[in-house]
Amino acid sequence: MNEIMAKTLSFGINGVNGFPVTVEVFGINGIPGMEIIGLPDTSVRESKDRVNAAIINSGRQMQPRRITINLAPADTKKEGPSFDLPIAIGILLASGEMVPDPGIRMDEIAMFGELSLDGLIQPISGVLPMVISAKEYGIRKVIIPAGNAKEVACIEEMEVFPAQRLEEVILHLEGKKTIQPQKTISYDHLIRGFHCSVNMSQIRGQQAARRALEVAAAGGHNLMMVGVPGSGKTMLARALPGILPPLSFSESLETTRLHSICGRLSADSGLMVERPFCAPHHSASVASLIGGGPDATPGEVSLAHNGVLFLDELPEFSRASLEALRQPLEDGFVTVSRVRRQAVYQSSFMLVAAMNPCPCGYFGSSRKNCRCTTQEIRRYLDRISGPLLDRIDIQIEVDAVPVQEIRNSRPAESSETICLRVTEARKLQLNRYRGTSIHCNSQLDGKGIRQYCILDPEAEMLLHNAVETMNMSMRAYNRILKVARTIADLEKQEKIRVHHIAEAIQYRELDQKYWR
Amino acid sequence: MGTNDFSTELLSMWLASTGIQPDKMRLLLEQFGSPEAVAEGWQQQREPFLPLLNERELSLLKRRFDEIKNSGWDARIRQFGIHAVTIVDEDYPERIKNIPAPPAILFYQGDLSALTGKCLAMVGSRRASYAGLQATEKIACDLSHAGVRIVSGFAYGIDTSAHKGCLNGPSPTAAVLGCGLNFNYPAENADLKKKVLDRGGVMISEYILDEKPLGPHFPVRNRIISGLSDAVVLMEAQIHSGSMTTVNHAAEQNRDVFVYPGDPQSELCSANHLLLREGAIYFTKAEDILEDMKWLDNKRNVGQNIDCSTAEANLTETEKRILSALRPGALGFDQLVDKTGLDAAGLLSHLTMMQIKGLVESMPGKFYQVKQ
Repeated sequence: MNEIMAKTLSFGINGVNGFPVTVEVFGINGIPGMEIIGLPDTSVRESKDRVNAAIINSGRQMQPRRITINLAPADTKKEGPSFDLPIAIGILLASGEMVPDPGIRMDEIAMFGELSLDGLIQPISGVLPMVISAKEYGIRKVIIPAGNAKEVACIEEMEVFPAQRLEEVILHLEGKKTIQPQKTISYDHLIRGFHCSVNMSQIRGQQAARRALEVAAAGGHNLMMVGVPGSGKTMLARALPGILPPLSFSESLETTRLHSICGRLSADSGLMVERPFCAPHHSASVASLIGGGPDATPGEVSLAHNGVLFLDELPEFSRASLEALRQPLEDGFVTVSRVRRQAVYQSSFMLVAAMNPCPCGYFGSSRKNCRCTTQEIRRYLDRISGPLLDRIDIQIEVDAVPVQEIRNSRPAESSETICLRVTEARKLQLNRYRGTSIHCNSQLDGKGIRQYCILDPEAEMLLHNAVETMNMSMRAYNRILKVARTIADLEKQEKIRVHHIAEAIQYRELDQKYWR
Repeated sequence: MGTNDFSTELLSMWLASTGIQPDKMRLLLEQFGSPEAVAEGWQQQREPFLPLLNERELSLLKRRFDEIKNSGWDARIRQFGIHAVTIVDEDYPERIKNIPAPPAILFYQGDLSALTGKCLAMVGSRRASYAGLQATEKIACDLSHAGVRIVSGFAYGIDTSAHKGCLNGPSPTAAVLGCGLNFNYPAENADLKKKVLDRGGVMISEYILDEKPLGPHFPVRNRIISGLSDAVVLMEAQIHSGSMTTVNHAAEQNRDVFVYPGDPQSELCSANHLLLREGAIYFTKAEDILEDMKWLDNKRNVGQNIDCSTAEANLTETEKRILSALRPGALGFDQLVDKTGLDAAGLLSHLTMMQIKGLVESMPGKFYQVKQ
C-alpha cells in the first residue's frame, strides 16, 4: 500500500478562546518532502524541520515519502509552534512507526507542544485557554508540555498528561509506559499560600494616602496621586493589589487566560492568585495599551484585567493613548479589530495614575523650591483631559516622608488587616447591587447615585455648603457622593452621614488646587 | 448734525481717537475747558485752533468725527458703563497730573474715587512663581487692611494676585488696561473684573472702544500705573520684562520703588536683585512699606483677622486641638496625625469642616495652615 493517512487532535487560539484543529497527515510515494497547508503562519510552517529532527532523535524512523499535512478547519489562521507535537504523532501514526494502544482513541485526546530538535517538548503560550476550550468541546484528556502543567492544574474533570519528551508521549500512546496525570490542585489551596508582594506594613507615614487606597479598593474607585518625585507613589500603587479582595476562581481563570495568550506566564506559575499589576512605560503606544498588532493581541488594559493598571508620569503619555483608555474604563472590555482578526478582551481594571505636580516636580514641596511658572504648570496639567479626569474618583496629594519620620513611626497596619475591611465592604456592595449590572460603587451612574447614595439632612447641607464655598463642579459633586457611599460601606452604615461626606470632599482637593 | 448732540464720553472718544499728542491735547482742553467746548471751537474754526494744530491733525479730526458720528458708539459706551475724565476736570486723579506727559483723557468703568487716598502700584511678571503669587496676594491683602488701594495692570500672574489680594481686604482696587474697556482681557479674569467693579474699584484705560490689546500699548499704559500711585512695589520680574518699564517710569515720575527680595537663585526674580543692588527699597512685609511711606499712624489695622476670633467660639474640642497644632506653622498631614492623635479618616473629615468654616486652608503638597 502506498498511501498512508492519520489524524490527531489539537487546538488553536483566537482571541481568548480556543478552537479545535484536526491535524491530518497524508503520505504517498514520491519525491520525499513535507508540506503543511491550512493557513499556517511561518512558525507552523517551520515545524516540519523541528518534527523531522525530533522524531529521529527519539529513536524512530522518518520514512522517505511525500507528506501533506492539513490543519483543519482550513479557513482559519494557525499560529505558533504548538502544533509540533500533534504533527509528529500524526506522522508516526501514518507511517506505522507507532501503533497506538487499542484502548486509546486518538480523537479523544488533544495535544499541544513545541518540539526542539533533540525531542524535548517546550512550554508554549495559551495552554490554559486551549485546555478550557478542550473541556468545553467535551475532550477529557490532554497532553501538554510539562512546563505548562501548573497553569492548568486547577482545572477539574480533566486528565492532564504533562510530557517532557516526545518519546514519553509515544510510549504513553503505545500503552507501554503511562505518563502520570497531573494532580489537581484546588484553587483554595493555591490562594491560601499566597502573600502579596508589597505589603502596606512596609509603607511608613503617608496616612492620608493609605486611607485613600483603602477607600479606593473598597469601592473600586480609580485613583490619582500627585506628588513630588520620590514621595512613594509607585510603592503605594504596588501595594494596592494586596488590599483588594482575593481573586475568585473565575476571575483568576479570566486573568490567567489573558496572560497565557501573551506568553506572560513563567513555567512554574500556575493560575494567577495575585491580582495583576501592570505598569506600562509612558512611551507606550495605543496598540500596546489597548491591544492590537497584526494578530490583535491583548494590550496592557487587558493584562490588568481584575487588577491594577498603574500609569506613572501620566501627563507624559501621549494624548491618543490617554483618550483611548476612556472606553475600556467605561465598559470593562475592549474590541480590538485588525485586518486579519477581531477579538474582544475583558479589561476591567482599577486605574491608578501618578504624576508630578509640575514639570520640575517640586511644586508644593517642603524640601525643594519649584522653578516652574504658573503657566508652565497649567500647560503640564492641561495634558490630562477633563473626560479622563472625570473617570477618576479619588485624587490625593502625596508628599515625601522625612527620614526621621521613617525611623520613628509606629509599625503600620498590614495589607491583610486592611483587606478584611475592604472585602467586607465589597460584600455589602455585592448584596446591594444584586440583580443589577454593577457590582461596586465606582460603577454607579447618575440614576444609581440618586437611588443608593442617600444622605442624612445634615450631610446634605454640608455638601451644598462645600460646593458653594469650595467652588466645586457638578462632576465633583457626583464623585463625592460615590466615594462617600464607599466610606459609609466601610463603616457598614446604610445612610451617608456628615463625616463621610466631609472625608470624601478631601479626595477632590486637587480640583481646587490644580485643575481649577 | 451739531457737536452738542453728543455726550461728553463720545466726544472724548473722538478726541482720543485722533492720536494728537497728550501735551497738545492738554493745551486744547485747558484753552477751551471741556471736550464739548473743544468740539464747538473746532466746528466754528475758532482760535487757537489754526495755529495749534497742523493740517494733518485738522483733517484727522474731521475724518474721525465723520466716522464716529454714525458708529453707534454712544449706545455701546452706555452699555459698558464707560465714563471719561479729562485733565481739566476736577475728579481727574491728582497724582497723575504731575508726571511727564500725563494722559489728557482717561476712560474708566466703576468709581474713580477708588484712586483717592493711599495708592500703591503692585507689579510683576505674568510668568511668576507660586511663592511669588502667594506673597503678592498676602501683602496686597495686608495693605488693603491698612487702607491702601492697589493699582495694577490686570494681567495674568502677579497683577491678578495683587488685585485679588486687595479685594480679600476691605479696600477697592484699580486696574489699568492696555486695551479698550469693552474687551474682556485677559479672558480668564472676567470674574475678577466683575468683582473689582462690585467692590467700588475702577477699570481705567486711555484707549478708545475696540482698541485691541497690542504689545506696544502695555509699556505706555505702565506710566499710568505708576502715575496713579504714591509708590511702586515690584514683586517678581525678569530683567527684560514689562514690569521694568513701570519701574523706569516710577523713577521718571519721582516715585519710590519697593522691591520684594524673592528667590535669588530663580531666573524669575533677576530684576528684583538687580534693582536692590542699585538701591531700590528692600521690604519683606506690608508693615515695611507702611513704615517707609509714613502711613503707620494707626497701628491696629495690619494683618488682623476679625472673623477668626468670633468663629473660634463655636469650635468643637477636636477642632481646637487641630487649630492649636497648626498655630506654630503649616504642617504636613502625617505630622498633623501625630500631633492630634486622630486617625486619618477622622482628621480628613475634620479638616473639611474647618476649611468650609474658613479656619484652615490646604496648600499644595498636602500641607495645612491656619487661614490668614
